[in-house]
Amino acid sequence: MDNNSSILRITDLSKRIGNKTILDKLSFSVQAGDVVGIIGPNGSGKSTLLKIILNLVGASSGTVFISDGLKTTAMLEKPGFYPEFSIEKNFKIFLAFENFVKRKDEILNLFELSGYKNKKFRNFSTGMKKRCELAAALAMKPDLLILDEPTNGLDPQGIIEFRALLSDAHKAGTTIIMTSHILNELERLCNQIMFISDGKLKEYSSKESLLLRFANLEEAYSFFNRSKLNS
Amino acid sequence: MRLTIVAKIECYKLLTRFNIIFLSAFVVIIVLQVLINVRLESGLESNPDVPYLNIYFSADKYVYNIIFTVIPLMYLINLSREFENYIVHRLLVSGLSRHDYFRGKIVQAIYFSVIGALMVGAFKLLVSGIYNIPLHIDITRLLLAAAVAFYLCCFFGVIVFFVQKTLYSILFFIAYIILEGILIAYLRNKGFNVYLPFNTAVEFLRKDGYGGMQLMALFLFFSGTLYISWWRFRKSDLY
Repeated sequence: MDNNSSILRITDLSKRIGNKTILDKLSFSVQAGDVVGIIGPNGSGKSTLLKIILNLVGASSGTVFISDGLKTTAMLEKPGFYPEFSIEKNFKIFLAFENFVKRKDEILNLFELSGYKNKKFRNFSTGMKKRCELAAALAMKPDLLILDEPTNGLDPQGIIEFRALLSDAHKAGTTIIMTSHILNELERLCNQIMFISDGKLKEYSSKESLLLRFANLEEAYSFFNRSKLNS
Repeated sequence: MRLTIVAKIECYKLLTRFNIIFLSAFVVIIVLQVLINVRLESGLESNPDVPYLNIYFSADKYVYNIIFTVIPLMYLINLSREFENYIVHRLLVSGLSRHDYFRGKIVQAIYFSVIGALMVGAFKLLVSGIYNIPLHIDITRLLLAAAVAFYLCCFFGVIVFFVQKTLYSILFFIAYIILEGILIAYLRNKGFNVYLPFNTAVEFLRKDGYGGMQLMALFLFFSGTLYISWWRFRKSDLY
């Protein structure tokens, strides 16, 4: 992989909490336009890795290089919206740097939220909450979008709509890094796949090259997880 | 420009149901204290010709609790709820830097202290109305009230940057005030004249006249806790 054109470069990244190693010397890079899917069992360090990239969590050692001026945002596992505020007021707060007050109609219409703008966030269904989160992220027109378990709790219709929104963002040039346990979803969306287990990077390659070796991502996951169990 | 946006964000956050209920509850308590206790303590019961400044003096004991406890506690709860509800996380991935966020918290403390001073002013108006006495508002004292409220918000804010949980923050806040009270009583009993963060601020506002040592101590406590808060927040992992 050509490191010079990468927008995100991680070198020997480790995270330790006390005696426990959460991430162990991870090194990889992401090119502009990639859609990277991160796969791993619960507790493997996926969310910690994303939070280090987002600078929410500090690394114990190693470096994270992000291209200058790269606009990065995320959809985290926990929504972080004010439950008692309407979606419009939440957007006023979280999209204040995006000139939401002037772009209000454009943003609410684009994500089909106009009819719900006065509804309190706590009264939304899980699917609608996810839509609001994704809208808040995509309204920023990010260069790099990080998604932590974005389809958790979504019904099939929600997943279809989510996929369409994400596909549009990718076509518009957004680089995406996402974690998910829904492997066929990652197989549809991603062009790069990363396997993490016990904080170690087991594999990072293109989906095409993986599918030459394995019938599908499920088989690949079983293989990398089995090698973890055997080691 | 960024600070203007940060100030706007903090302004949007002020009008929550929690803040309205919290303030209203305390307003009711203080109104009752002013109605019942002040009448008894100022001597109005036995002597209707008590100098009106005595009535204000008695009322201040209750009204200034807005500055000493209500406003800092409200600030503490607002701040800790942001950590507890992952608002901080979302703000930090929405274009705000940690530095912006921290500046926002200072702006929020200013908003709260202005609200506190306005409430003190409103209570003066109320006391004047209830007891039918001339209105007496000392603007310098109101400004000092705002300054003390701001100082206490920043001072107690350090708790949240360490514990990040609402319940623990409230418990630490109460425990600190009690412990400092015990400590200062003990030390003064032993003949030491010490300046401690909460007590110095209370005396600064309650007593007439204040010394250079008091001001110096308050400045040191303020800058020290602000620095510790920033140091802690800059380094903290937000899972």
